[in-house]
Amino acid sequence: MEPLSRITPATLDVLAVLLDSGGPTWGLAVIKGSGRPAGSVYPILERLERSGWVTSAWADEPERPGPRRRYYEFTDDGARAARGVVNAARTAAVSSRRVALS
Amino acid sequence: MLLPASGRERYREQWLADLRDAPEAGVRPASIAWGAVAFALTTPHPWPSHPRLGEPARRVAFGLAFASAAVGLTHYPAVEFGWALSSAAVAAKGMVDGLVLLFQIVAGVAAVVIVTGAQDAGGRERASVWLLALASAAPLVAASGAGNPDPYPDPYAAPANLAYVAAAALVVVALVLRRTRAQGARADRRRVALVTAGLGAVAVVAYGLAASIWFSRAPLVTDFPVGSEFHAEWLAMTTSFEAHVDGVLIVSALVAVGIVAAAAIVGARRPAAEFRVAATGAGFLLLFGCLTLSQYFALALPQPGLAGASPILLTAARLALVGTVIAAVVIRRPAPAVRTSIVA
Repeated sequence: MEPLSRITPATLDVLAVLLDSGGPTWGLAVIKGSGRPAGSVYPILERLERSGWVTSAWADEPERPGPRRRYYEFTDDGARAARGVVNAARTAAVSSRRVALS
Repeated sequence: MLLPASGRERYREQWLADLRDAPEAGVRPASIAWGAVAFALTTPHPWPSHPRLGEPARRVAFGLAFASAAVGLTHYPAVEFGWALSSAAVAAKGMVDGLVLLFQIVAGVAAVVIVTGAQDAGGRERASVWLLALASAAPLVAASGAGNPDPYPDPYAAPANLAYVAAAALVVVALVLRRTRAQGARADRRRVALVTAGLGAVAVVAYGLAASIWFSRAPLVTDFPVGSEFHAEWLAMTTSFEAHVDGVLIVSALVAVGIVAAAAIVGARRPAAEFRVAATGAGFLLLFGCLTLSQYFALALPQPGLAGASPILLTAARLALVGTVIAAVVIRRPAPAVRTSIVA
């Protein structure tokens, strides 16, 4: 797995949605859950996959004919790294809020 | 075709499924379509043959594209309105313009090839280079002849003029896409500020000399035979609007020098982002100040002629202007290392 060259707020949102889902997640659900536009989410998912943070697979849904949905899931290393990044970002956000309130 | 063949079928099926099921997920189908286009345009192609070029090479690509677009824009104030000093001057100007156009094409194509083939180029970085390459084509529109209908019904609305305005807009969009936070010690910022201010001053002086001496006061020598009566009419016409031209030139030059000086002072004291914006503005102000001058001639003259400029001075001015803007926009310290160590 490669480290990400940049971690934007949109990347953090995507990572958080994938972590919270706890399993294979449909790409469209990531768009919906993160509140980010598809133009941001698609490239982020591709970058995460290319860097080995997530893997993707076709849905096995014989009852749904036509094109198949793509589901994304963290690799073991990716899940660990994502938790670290998201937790660090949340801690930093809480700290800055405390500083602002004090 | 914008996606690598290895991934084309996969993304096609994925996006078709997303489009079909978007209403079920509460997402607008238009958003999916737009996302697919953005993805295809901005995502690096993970082809094995695509090298990771590193930051310096990618910065060179941006510099080449930016130089190509900036040189293209500076072609506008050098558009030939007025008279030729001599056939030799016309020939020299034609040769210089040809070489500049060749540089533009080579630089633009090289920049696009480099940044498109670089696996590590970001989407915004790639898009900014493409936009600059597109902007650099403005002189080609003018050169094609389609942009300058004869007679001019309204020179400001001619397609060639609009092409330059569109090119300037593309350059602005590309700069916004490329926007980065400048880093560097105060001494570095001061050095860049001085380089920019110096080049800006050279551009002002060179444009000023070219415009005030060659445009309006050089001896009238045409490279084609004209009658003495017609010759006298042209001379009289020149002197009739000379004062207006001087006024435009003086105001443009004073404002431009003031902005460049202010940019240099600000750039030496503050983070360079504001400085770059100010200095870039000064460069474009210089450009369009001279553009106004040229347009004045275009409106005042009943028949645009071949050339009215000193090729050496105008070339020096264009190079200095491009140098000013490049120094202001492209030269910067490398960005700090991104915080990725925590995820290693």
